Amino acid sequence: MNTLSKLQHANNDSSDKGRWLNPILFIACLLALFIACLLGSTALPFERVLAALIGLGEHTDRLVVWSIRLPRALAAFLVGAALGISGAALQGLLRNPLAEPGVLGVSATASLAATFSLYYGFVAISPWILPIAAIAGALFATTLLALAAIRTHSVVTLILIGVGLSSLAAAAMSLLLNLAPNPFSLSDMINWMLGSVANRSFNEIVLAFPFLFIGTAILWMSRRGLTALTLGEEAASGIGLNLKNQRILTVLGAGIATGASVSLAGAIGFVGIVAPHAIRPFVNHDPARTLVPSALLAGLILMLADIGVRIIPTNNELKLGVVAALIGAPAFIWIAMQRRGLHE
Amino acid sequence: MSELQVNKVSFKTGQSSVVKEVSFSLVPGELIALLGANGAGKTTLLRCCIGLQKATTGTALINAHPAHRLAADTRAKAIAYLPQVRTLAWPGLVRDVVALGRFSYGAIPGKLGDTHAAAVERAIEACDLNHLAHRRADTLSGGELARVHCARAFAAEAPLLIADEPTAALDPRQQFRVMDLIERYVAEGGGALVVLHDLQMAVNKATRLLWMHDGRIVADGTPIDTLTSERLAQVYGVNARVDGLTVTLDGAIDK
Repeated sequence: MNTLSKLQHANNDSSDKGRWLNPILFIACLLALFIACLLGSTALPFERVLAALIGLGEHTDRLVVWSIRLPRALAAFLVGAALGISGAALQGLLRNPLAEPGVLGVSATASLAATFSLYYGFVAISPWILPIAAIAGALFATTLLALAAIRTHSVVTLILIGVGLSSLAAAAMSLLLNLAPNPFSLSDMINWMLGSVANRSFNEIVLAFPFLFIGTAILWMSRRGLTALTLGEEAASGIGLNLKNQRILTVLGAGIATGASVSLAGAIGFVGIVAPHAIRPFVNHDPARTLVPSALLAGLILMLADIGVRIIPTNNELKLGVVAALIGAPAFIWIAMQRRGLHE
Repeated sequence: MSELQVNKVSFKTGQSSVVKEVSFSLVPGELIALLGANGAGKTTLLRCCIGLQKATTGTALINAHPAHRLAADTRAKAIAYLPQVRTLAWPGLVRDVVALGRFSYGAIPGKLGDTHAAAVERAIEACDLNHLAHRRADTLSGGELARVHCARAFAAEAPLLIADEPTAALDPRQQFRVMDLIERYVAEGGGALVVLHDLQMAVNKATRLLWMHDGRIVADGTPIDTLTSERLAQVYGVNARVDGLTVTLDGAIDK
């Protein structure tokens, strides 16, 4: 009996630290969502927002909450969550805390593909073209990276390939900007490059949501293998991981989720690095257990950043992607400097 | 009974043959030391044995099934594998790392069922890691980490074990501790194939020696039967004196 209870204790205590993580983050996200509905150019009082949310109150209040503030905040959350879980999963697969859709050039490639489809008017064929183009771009980049990861075991090389992809996508974007036929499409494209959730409606969310859901679900279902990869690829195969399937699932999931997030908000970088990094100590550095809390935290960060974007008084509204990079890029540098050469 | 049966396995990359027509078998009760110089093809042979690499010709059979066609988890339940590279990507808890040995049974570290928890506990106990079970892996010394990996392999409770230089970069005491663990695993009914570079250790601990040179097995037998100074010259290119089961290495042979 004594040994059994000791066993049970030993078995459970490693997860104790993280037990409240998801509930706390979830409640924080709900709070942020609500706060996002309160704040804006005309601050609505608490009870009017509450009334509007449950379908009561004045028509204009309902309009402001349901057509402007709520979809925008929800878009910020979904984009953040997709990037957070993709970052966490890619980090697990590549065994590197610096891996992330933005850094690896996945977001940039996706937004290039999206811009391309806008530029040439393919979007007129069907509204689904936009998310599909963005996802195709993201999958192209993730597949390329996964193939490179098989060939080279150097993580530094991989990050450099990502930097190259980013630069290439940025160059192609500049080319499109250069050739832009009118100022209107120019500002449209800049929106994609910088990343923003301004003026998003439920229509756009509905288009992106199925893909966000599928990508996230694939990542969540294949999370166990990421823990096995802690041991390295060789040992992970040794303990019974089907390495090929794991690679395909993570690349597919991260590609779909990132592509969908780009179709909703353009390229937003670095949230996928910051969130998993903050989460890891609470889940004993187990990559599988970082996925859900990273998604929640990254969603929370983007919602808060977007609230900031809306209430900071500037001439032109700040772009969400710019703010995210201003917070995330220093964190990236800091994490990189902390590394003690675990891999060469 | 569990068995690894290797039949005329060859492996080629491009023009060069890395492994040439190797045949041997491993059954419980045996502790086989695979000996050979760097680049002799030992690691490639091990990878062919457990089907991580498909042999160009010949077959490696695990319990009569071709190794490369076995599902990864089925194979992992039959043979535990300790590869050479043992750095951990993330500094998880020792207990969680050991629990990964139960991966093929669907165990989730941090949420182990009773059967898995018991197996993990036994492995931790066997490898003398009780006091370290809740430490983070990045706070361990090299010897401690080596024992963690042993415990991880033992936690699978697989009938066979393949270990690629489990004592590399360890001090003599830690080398003995790791080899003692493997010896006990064999005494308790396991079968182990271990790559070793410490000849005296191999001679003292192994029940059988597989001498590999240039991709071929040049000798296969008990230490007393196969240990000769000529063989050491051929396989390692060293001048050595052999007295019974005592090896004294004198130096490299000039080529």
